[in-house]
Amino acid sequence: MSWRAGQRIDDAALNLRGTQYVIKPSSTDRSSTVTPTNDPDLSLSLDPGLWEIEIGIYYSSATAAAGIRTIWTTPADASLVSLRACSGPGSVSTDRLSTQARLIGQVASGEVTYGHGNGLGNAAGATESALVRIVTAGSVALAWAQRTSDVGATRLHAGAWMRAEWIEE
Amino acid sequence: MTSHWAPEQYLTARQLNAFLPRAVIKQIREPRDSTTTMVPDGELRVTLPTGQWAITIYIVIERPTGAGTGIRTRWFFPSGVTTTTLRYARGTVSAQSDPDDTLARMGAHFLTTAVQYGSEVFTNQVWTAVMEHSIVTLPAGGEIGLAWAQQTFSSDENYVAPGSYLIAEPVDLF
Repeated sequence: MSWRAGQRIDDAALNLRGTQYVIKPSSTDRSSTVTPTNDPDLSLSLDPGLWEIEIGIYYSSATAAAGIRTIWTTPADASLVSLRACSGPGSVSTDRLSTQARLIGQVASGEVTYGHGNGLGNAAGATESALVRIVTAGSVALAWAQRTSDVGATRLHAGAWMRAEWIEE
Repeated sequence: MTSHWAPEQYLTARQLNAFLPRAVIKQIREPRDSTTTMVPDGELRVTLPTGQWAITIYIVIERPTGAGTGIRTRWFFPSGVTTTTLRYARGTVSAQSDPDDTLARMGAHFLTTAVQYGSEVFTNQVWTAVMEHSIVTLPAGGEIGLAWAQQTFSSDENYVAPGSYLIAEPVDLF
């Protein structure tokens, strides 16, 4: 229940209930790494409560082997109430327009790999979503690296996005 | 934190409504034949005020008989529109013929790129359903929506079916 009887309706309460968005302003390239680190842009600072978080991951890689791997980072006392529902190209996909699908449930720290083989620039897309309980205000972020370490870059494209919708206290 | 509301701002119906999502649900089974030229759908379109909008379109595809092989899509929009994300297209591959067990396309494209989805012949209440999503900026508002045609030219009709829908959610209203 989002509102209580007698609750003061002010800007803070209204803004909390507005969907939060961040849209990646420029692309990020990473190479020769399989250790996920936070994306510099795809992060949202969230107040305590239950949130539905969804991430649109648009990515490409210079070589078919590189692909992408993802995890979520959250405040230490936050917890995923749901699994993280991930859908995207299969990990060994080499064709974003004809691929087997990866449709997996994972925990926040579980690495999920998606394939790509169309070269840098022709983006494939994956989406991930989960319900997250935030206890102490803090940031939820997408962390990522290459699926397989490669000197050819993996790119997280400008326009990748993250949204958070407040569900309840 | 996105701030739609300022301290001491008046709560008005107009402002409260402005931040609600808009939905359009397709009512008519719309046929197209003998064309690969994409034109706007009769219903899957919405007129939006100035702002940045997250738009999701769920497209239900029906191919009754014959050689028609599904549809191709693009988006139409007012001049001046810019995309802040790519247009994500998740659905069947162009040559797919079984919605129950198929390879997927999971590509991210420009609004105007032709995206092709295959569809099997419609039987037993099984349609093909695909999803497209993008976040767009409309500097002066206007009408935006789905344009489509047959994937390959055929005298056999292809349909976008009732139950398809479009949702537009405001990200930021300037």
